[in-house]
Amino acid sequence: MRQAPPAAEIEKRYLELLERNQGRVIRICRAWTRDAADCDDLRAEVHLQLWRALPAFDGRSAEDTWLYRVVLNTAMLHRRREARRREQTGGARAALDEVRATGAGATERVEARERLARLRRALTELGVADRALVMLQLEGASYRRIAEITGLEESNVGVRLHRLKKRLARRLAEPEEDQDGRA
Amino acid sequence: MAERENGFEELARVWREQSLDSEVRDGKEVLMQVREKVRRFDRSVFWRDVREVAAGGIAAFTMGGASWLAPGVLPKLGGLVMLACIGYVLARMLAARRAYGHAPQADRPLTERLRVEIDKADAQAELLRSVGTWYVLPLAAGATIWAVTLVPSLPLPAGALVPALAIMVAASLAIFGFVGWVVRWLNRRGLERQLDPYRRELRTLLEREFATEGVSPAQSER
Repeated sequence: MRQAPPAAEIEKRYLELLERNQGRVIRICRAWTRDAADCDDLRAEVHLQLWRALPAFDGRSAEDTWLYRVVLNTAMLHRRREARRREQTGGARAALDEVRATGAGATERVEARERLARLRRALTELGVADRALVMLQLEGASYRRIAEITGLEESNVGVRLHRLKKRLARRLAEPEEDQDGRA
Repeated sequence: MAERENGFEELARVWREQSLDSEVRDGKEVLMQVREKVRRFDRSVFWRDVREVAAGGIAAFTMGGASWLAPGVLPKLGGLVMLACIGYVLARMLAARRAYGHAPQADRPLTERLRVEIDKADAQAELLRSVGTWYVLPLAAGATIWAVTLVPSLPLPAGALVPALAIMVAASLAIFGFVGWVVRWLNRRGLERQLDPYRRELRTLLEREFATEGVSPAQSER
């Protein structure tokens, strides 16, 4: 049986891991949740799961593969629990639309912000697996890496992403509807 | 095609460049929160186990003590049977809780993690469904045998042994019958309202959304 590393070493590895990957964790948590409070809950849960899983991480898979697996597994099951909680409490919380983007000028910033907001809305319309695939591709993961993370066949990932990109492009090209469904 | 790829690349750029500064936290602060959460969780699990073992221990101590102090071999045998029944129930409960607790699963591929979650939910559903046989029945049988073996050692007037035995058995059956019905009802309710919908959701997720075969255009472009 593999010996667990000493606690001080795990702490050090954990802090380094956070340092390198907080951005990824935040982006995925934002895309997986509908409001800021839920996003914070999910992030706290992800941090906990990373901490629990880290001692067993032996480097056989790449660090980002391992990280995406932990984050997406946590998000996937968190979403199930959250959906059940919402059903039980019977209320939806205020939507999160605090999407920010960087850009050279104010106009570019606003445009990027709008695109990001629309992308996030389009992502929330996808099923769990499709959303995970698109998010991983947005993060820059290759088909092979996505297959390792999700457990799907690489060819299957390619076919699905090809269709999903088409669908996403169509969705983003549609005129935006307001709250009452008016274009 | 190339245009779509370019569009996606542009989206990916916007995605990766979204501003996160206000949400990035100090690693040490995160670590402290995680440690506190782990400590609270471990403590609540520890005390839950302690409460259950203590309840079993108190029952075993008082009932076993009464058997041990009673004259003759029969009450002691009854006491041993009762202790074995309590031990069996506690062992089943603790084993079920720890069955999936130690293996790290969060870093498995998503499909594999879902399968583990389905297995866990199925095992939990089976425990709830069979609560009558592994929980109520052994406790009822153990307590009834204990009571019946204890009765002959009580200072009863002549001719009262058989009625006393009958009363003891009837009381035990009535109490455990009622308790068993309540426990079974609560477990069924939990199963139907929460666990079964959760299991269905997980299966749907694995079998439809993560299906590796037969991804039809209609399914993907719904």
